[in-house]
Amino acid sequence: MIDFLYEAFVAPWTWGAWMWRGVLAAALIAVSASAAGVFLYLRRMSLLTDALSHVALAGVVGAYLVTGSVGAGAMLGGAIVAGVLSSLLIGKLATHPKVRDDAAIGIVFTAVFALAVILLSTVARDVHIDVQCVLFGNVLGISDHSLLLLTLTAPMTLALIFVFFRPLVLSTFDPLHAAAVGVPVVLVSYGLMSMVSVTAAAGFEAVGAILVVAMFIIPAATAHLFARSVRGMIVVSIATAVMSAVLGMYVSVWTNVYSGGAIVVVAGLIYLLAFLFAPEHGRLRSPGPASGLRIHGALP
Amino acid sequence: MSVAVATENLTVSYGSVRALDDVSLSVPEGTLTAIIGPNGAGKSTLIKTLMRAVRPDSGVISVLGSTERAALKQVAWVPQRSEVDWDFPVTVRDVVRHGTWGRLGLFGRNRRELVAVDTALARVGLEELADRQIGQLSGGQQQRTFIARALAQRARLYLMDEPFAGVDAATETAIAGVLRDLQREGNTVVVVHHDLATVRRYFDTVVLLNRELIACGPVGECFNRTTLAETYGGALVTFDSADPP
Repeated sequence: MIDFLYEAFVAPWTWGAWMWRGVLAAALIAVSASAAGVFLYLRRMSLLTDALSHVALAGVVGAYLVTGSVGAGAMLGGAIVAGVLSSLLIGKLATHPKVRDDAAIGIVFTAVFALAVILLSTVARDVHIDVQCVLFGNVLGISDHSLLLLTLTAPMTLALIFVFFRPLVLSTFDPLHAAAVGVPVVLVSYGLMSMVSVTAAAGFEAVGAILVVAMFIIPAATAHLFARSVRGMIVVSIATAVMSAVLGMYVSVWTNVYSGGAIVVVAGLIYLLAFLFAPEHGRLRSPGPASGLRIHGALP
Repeated sequence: MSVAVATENLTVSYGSVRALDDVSLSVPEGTLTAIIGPNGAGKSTLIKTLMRAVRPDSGVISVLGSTERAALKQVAWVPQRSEVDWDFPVTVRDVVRHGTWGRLGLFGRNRRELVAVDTALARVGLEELADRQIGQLSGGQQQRTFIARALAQRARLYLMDEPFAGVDAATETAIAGVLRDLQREGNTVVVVHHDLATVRRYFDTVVLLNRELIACGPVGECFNRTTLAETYGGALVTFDSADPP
């Protein structure tokens, strides 16, 4: 028994630096994405993260066209710039009364993504971008540069959320009230989108553009089933995200499967368990007086 | 008497649809005012424009005697119930606390503001439910939660979007009582209202709106068969029994 536990949980750490580097990278991206993800979830903007991951490809191609380099710095820098610019563009478009928010996101990001694909097949043909790597990441072979970037962005995200907690909550819950009492609602919104772009770009190499989306959405959705306060929701979101990262890495090592995928599958399973068994919100709980009131309160 | 809300030649459009057309009105301070009109008359648009959430095509808005945005710090907003995310992870007390955050800034906290929160909760009778998640409240309790936030904000002008929509009779009476108390303390309350039968009972001033301003002034002068017919057109016939003489 002891031998088995040792083999399963301790031995992988002795197999090489890639294990702790992978766990560290996955945990760092889990922390920043899941914390920022809470506010995106509450604003019903979870899919924005999906869109941002598409725009990243345009950023990578753009960075190559400007700098002539496909180094990690140019790639991530390009992705950040493209993400922030596209967020600004969506924000502008969405404030127009004839443009729906969800359509604004869909229009900007698919168009930018398509542009990137065209550029890749024409002017940027000789750049050998490993689209596979951008989309799916490679947490076990993460570079020093990416690891450093994650080590900087994760605490920065947490610090920003801590400092601007009240403006974030006010403008997420009731933007009209927030604006009335002096919160720069538009600035807060752009700030949040920029934070998402930075986190998404920094998370590419770890879990990939597509799976970083899961780290924004799933832990926040899980936390919403438990939390009674935004603060509590952030804590639960971070906790389940880090748990998914660590457990996912173990699963990946044990079964020799792709790490990013294993992490997200674990996150999804944790959500499923929470969905079924969470107190108050759980679907397999018999409806008590509390949930009866909830239904009553939800009537228009 | 000074003016709580004034607009001059206010025009607002959503794309090519005109929501408000050349509206000039003024609501004196200290009144309890109902904005009434048919669906799509621009009632919600009017108060959202006053909150500066909707940008007018043209016209001037002044709130509490100022055209500056900063005047809104003394304006409390009570949203329509359907516009609130009742699944948001906040308790009643949290929402009321939000009313004090405008003064407290990013990190500030002090005893006086905590007392203000408790006082506001007590005034609307929600002390016992203070730690409930807002989704677990009845319609009337939800409405009172936002009134308590407004109280904690120490506003002088209260803009409310249909506070009586979907609440039972007892709650309606209770909310009306709170509104009268607010007025008695010298505040101005402006409410988007739907029920023509209760206009005389609850309000002293009325704004009749149907994209254009039909009438604006004391209920006794402005709320009659003629102005209502002009506001609602032929549909008014059905309101006859509830209609004032």
